[in-house]
Amino acid sequence: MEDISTYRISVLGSVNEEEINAMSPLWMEMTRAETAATLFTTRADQSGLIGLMRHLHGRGFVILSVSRVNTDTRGPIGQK
Amino acid sequence: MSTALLQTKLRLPTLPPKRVQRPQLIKRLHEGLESGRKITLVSAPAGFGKTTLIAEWVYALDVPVAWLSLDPSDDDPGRFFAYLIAALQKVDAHIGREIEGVLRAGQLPPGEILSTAIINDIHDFVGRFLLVLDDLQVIQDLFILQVLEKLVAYLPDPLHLVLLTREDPSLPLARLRANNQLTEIRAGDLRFTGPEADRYLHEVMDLSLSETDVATLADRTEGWIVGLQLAGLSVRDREDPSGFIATLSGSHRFILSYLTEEVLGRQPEEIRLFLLQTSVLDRLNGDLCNAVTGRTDGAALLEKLFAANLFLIPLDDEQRWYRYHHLFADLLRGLLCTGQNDTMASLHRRASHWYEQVGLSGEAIRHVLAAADYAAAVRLVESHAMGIIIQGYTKTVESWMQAIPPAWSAQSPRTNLAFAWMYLMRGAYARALPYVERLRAIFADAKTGEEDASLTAEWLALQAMLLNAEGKPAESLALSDRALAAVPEMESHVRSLIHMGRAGAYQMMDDYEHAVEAFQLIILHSRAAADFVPEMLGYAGLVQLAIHHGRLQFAFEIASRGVERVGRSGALSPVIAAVHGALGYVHYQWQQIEQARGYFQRAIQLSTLGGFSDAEISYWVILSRLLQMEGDLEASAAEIQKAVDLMRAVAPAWVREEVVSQQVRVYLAQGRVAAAEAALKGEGFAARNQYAIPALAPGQYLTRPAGLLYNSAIRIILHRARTGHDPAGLHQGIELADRLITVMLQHQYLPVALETLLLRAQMYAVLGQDQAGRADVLRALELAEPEGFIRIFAEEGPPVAESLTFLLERNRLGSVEAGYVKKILAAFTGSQPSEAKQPAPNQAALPSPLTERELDVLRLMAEGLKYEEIAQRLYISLNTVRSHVKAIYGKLEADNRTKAIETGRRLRFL
Repeated sequence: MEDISTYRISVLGSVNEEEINAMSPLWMEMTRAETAATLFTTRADQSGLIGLMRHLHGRGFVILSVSRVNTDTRGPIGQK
Repeated sequence: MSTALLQTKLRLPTLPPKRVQRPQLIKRLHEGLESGRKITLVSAPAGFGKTTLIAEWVYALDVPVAWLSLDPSDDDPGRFFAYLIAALQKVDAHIGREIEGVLRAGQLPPGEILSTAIINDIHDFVGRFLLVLDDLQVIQDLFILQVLEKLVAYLPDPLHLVLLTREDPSLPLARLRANNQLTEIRAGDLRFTGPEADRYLHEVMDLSLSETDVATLADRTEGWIVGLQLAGLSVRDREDPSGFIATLSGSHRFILSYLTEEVLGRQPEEIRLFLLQTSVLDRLNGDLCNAVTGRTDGAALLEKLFAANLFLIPLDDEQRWYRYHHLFADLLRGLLCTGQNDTMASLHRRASHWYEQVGLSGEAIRHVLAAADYAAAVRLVESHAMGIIIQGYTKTVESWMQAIPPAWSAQSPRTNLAFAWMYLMRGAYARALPYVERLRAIFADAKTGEEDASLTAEWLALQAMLLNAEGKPAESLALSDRALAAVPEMESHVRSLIHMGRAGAYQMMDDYEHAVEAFQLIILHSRAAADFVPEMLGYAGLVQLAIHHGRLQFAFEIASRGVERVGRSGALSPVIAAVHGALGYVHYQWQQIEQARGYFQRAIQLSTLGGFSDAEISYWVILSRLLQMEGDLEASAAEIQKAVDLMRAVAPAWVREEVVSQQVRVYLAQGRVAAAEAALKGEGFAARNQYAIPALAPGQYLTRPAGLLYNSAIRIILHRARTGHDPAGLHQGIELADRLITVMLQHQYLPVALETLLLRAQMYAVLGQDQAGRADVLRALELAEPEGFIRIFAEEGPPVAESLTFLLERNRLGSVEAGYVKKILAAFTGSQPSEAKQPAPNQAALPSPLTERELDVLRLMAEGLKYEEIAQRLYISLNTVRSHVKAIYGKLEADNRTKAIETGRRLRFL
């Protein structure tokens, strides 16, 4: 059972961390910011990840990639 | 579509008689609530027992619970908020009463207003309650999410929000989580542990399985409850359950379909078939199942399935309505549609037929769309689209339109007419045009409408409205006449639409009498057709017309009738703001200032509720005027600034002149002539950067708004002359006034003409031509007396008062009653004789009189105070306020604040 994993999410363009988190259902930590794309990581289970994807899509963000980093199930999801 | 809300969606789910208790999770939920966290989020895929867990928790709580089970059709703002408010009213009938009335009238307030109204109403609740939104993942509409976002951000203290969802909602939960305001239960928490799986299989499913078998099943299904249930059903009554369990391999993601087939395979043929056939239904009852399956024992079979634990969930206490567990239904449908598309389509058609028979057209349409039966879909949409649009469920109809291929929908005149009307009535011409283009193509075919006179008439009426928008009233009237000639006698709905076009055209042509008649016919026919919003549009248009022409008595009569009609209907269209505004204006002119203030405030409230910024602006203007007359120039300036700010933000066309006119009055009262001139410059009263008045040729036609601007220009001339800056300008002012009075009287714009007469009188006075000035005042009196205008004189200040006093004292009033002039003069001094002569409050009209304390509470309610504020003001407890309010409602026969205040005003308590 791998309910919670850490995911790496790449979003098109330069995105401000505070701005993206202000309305987000899960906290996303910015790990790399470039003009072309911004890389975030977040800890989520499947319900959280799907909700986050839909949220980003609904807010007009362009998702470039989503990948699982590890499956460390310890600790809560989506926290700062 | 029936407007009745499905009560089954609002009731707490029935708990399964046998279930596994989950004390650890319940404890966490309790702790979250007791520690004051604002939200509980239960987020996990289907089949994890979210609903059962929360139902078990809330049944054990000693706080009221509002429950709303959502389904995909609720992803429409009109429908969602109707259900949300219905759910909240199960806890407190006062929550959302105003919004409910607006929704019932088929209108949707702006999101900001909606969220604020709901939040404020919840704030008034004494104690604490829970609102549970089950299956929230079906809500993806941005408007709904934005309102929920606001609710989450400003969650009022009495409310604890519980969100049940398969995926995290698009709400700012990260912030709440960081602030420890969120209790979370997720898939990892909901999975059955080994001992829980053991209790479930043994105690709930009555199975005798070995410890190893239980452990294997728990492992294979990963504690997923629905998987365990399917597995349990698969091994029930098997001779070798261990053997079967041993064959299961892979995770639940792979064995689920297999288990479903196993469960089905073990059912008798009739049950198996019944399950598959009825899986197309979102809700099931005996009759509906009979219609879909062709059987006669649907109700008995449903009871049997429920007893056999076959994923059937009762939706009401009487167990008449059920639904399948969502996941089980999906699996059944998956099996049904494998190679049996025709069967599926036929089942949907039968369901649609049943729903149509019982009047649930929305469900009927959904099923024919699922059957891809577009001919039937178009037929149903044609019959019901307008009615559903009028109820405000526009998104639902739009989604049907999108589901029907253009080849079908483009050929449907009625559906396209419904959409074109909807956008035209909202003033969204651009959005109406694609539908109009389709209609042009449809009606280009000479056969269209040949056999249906009503259809032809409606198309003509629509074109007449479009011609009005293009500024062609004569052509519009010609088409309306053709429509009237074609429309069948009993077609009240189409008749009301035709008269809307006529009313607009006559207004543009300044034909007051015919416009009045057309508006009256809109009211008459809309009422006959039970079209509430068009009826209210008729009232609003008529009173506004009467006010512009100074027909105060008539406006009062119609507006009172409109308010009474709204009170009886239980619906609350924000369109009715215009009617309250008209009553405010009439009372203002009649020097009944408190009544006027009350109606203006209500008009602003309703305009805000409906997002009608232009109406809201116009009422800020008149409130500013009222405050200016009371001598509170600062407050008056603040009110007009609100109007200016709002006007800059939304830029409505028809209120600009009203705003500028009052801006000029306030600026001049403040001695800011340059600012007054600048305000007028923006309206074209400038040439080469210098303040100048556009020429007005004798006999030149002027609209009423232009008349307001010219009066403002004359007012500036008068002010400059009085302050010694440009006395020579008075001659230009008088010349302008001569022409303006002629044209305004010719077109019966009485209030503008009265204002001009009084301004000219003052200009004559400055020039020392007192006799000419008094003649103008007398003429104004003669014109104003039949309608009882008072304030229009008082607004002009001492120079007019002097003329009135002179005429009265020298007995030179001609046909004008001396008592009328005395009333006006009293208004100058602020003694307000008309109010002083008001009869005492009519306690005798009540079966039981209001006590002094109840009167205090009613007055504070009318001031817009919340219950908590009333309690503070009167030094009484909140509960005492509530009991006073209850008594007031009972005595005034009102079921909400608005009605109580209205009745209070009518009986002169306020």
